Amino acid sequence: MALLEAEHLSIGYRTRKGLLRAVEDVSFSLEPGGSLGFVGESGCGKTTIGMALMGLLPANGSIFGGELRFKGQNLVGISDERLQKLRWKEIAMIFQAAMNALNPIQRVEDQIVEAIRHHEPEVSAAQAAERVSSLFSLVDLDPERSRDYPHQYSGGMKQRAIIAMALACRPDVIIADEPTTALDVIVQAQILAEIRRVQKEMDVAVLFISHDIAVVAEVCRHIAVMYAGQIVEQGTRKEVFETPAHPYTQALLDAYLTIEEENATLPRAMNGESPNLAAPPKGCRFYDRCPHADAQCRQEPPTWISLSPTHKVMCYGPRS
Amino acid sequence: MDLLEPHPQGDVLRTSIMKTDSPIAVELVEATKIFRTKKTFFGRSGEQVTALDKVSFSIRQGEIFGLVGESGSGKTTAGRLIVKLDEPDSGNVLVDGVNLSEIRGHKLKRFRRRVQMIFQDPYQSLNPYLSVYQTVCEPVAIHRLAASQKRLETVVSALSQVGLTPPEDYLFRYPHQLSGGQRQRVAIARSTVLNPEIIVADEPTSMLDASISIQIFNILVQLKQNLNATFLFITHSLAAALYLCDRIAVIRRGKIVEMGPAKAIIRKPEHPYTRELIRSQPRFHRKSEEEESLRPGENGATFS
Repeated sequence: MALLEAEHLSIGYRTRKGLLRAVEDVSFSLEPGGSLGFVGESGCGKTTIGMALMGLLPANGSIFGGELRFKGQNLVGISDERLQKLRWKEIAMIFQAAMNALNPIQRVEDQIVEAIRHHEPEVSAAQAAERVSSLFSLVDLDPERSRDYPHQYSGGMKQRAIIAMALACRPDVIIADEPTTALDVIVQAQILAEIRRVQKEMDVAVLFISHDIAVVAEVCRHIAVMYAGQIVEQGTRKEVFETPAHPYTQALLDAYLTIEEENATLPRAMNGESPNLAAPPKGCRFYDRCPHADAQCRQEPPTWISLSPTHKVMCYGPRS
Repeated sequence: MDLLEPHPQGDVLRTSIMKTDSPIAVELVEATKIFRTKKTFFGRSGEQVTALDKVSFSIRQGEIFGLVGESGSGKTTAGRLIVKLDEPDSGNVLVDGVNLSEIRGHKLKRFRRRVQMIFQDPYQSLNPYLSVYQTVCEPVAIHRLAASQKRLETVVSALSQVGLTPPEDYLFRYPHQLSGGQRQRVAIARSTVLNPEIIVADEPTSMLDASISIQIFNILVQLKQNLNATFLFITHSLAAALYLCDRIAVIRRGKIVEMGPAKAIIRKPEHPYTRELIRSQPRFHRKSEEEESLRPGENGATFS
């Protein structure tokens, strides 16, 4: 059974301009111990999915269609109390702004101990402290530093502490939303290696969200490319990055500057910007920016085309 | 300073690929900038942070020079010295051979027209109360570059240069009505409407999506050709530096550790820090054993 499963999930925000359809008809599943990466640019809905999984949608946001199941249990319409039990204990989250996720006036160890004992009241303070120290070793932090305050840590150390905290209750899945975006590349590489290692050692599933396709490629075996609230292509890392089928995926890959490129000439820019999700276009949402668009794309939204048992694309004429 | 001279600290400097004899437009000579934190309420003495430590480099006219470093490396401080937003504590900053410490009064105003900066965050660099027209027109009015009847024309042409077309659609919009990419274009138009000779671009795309960044990079390259301007491009991205810059300097903790043609440094880094930076770049093609050994049905995730 899939650990985490979304079926035709739609999420919207009520705004003054009407319902903003941030996520529309999205389906995916994550097996125990697996890794799935959501990539896309700002406003594509990837963070909204993460927030919905944690039950942390803002007051004006709600799931208005589809199902979201965790171990077979539907998370849509679940009681706050039940959700509270799942959160941290079974589904943990690593946020983008690591610096802000720690309480500045509490020692790091105390914060993690508090989280553990909140969810597992049977654990004694001493046991919890012991667990913190082993978690610290796991994420390559010196356990001696656990009695420090957050401001005594560097950015990378804070992010490691956050990962330790996320792992504290041995969750089945970790949602990592842009966990390295605020960090320098060298620290980013270390944190990504840490996430890969922890995932393997603790056999925890990871749902990884990032705008940076190469970062996602480093961590995830499966990739879902999102554009304007929809998944437009999904497949294994190899399929999506080596044989991208959706014009948007191709454009995203073209726009990614790497130092590996032999002949470093600036790629042609993809014109335009994402459509307004309060009034999404009738046909394909990528129509305005697509180099291959035709009349049909404008009239009717495309449906899924399977390219392999694991690879599929939402496009009329996938190009390889 | 002669770029061929061995660096006193044993850091790595290389010769320029610019075989032209174009004159040096910008020069930092052993520039040092120290920031002091205030004394605390309890009387603890303030701390000193040396943001730039005897940094020297020069940029030839028409060159795009990249300053690559991580947060806190001092790269933005160097940029601020060049546009005279900050003064060095010691050392000199020269623009066209003139020491900036000697520029004041009406000369300073002229200098401000010739040297412009594009800031990192277009969500903060634009005044939310000014329309696009007012934003771009303000420097034109201050420097009296165009008679009032001609100002609209000047603004419109600056907007079309940065790809905000048709410009009439944008003139009376306010920053909150623009996307991040559009805001950065307005900020660039505001800087370039004066036809500056030197442009300091401080991480102009770090707040923007990849596809929008490419649009902005293309605009910068276009502008460089149109204005024949000299660029200091400040970035944390080695990849962006490779694509855009003629020469780069890698800066760390206020010191330049390696300097030379962008391609040569990235292909054959010599300083250990540069190597570490390059090794840390995220990659698509990292060989992962697990992927190779994956058997069908063992996939971590499936899609319905």
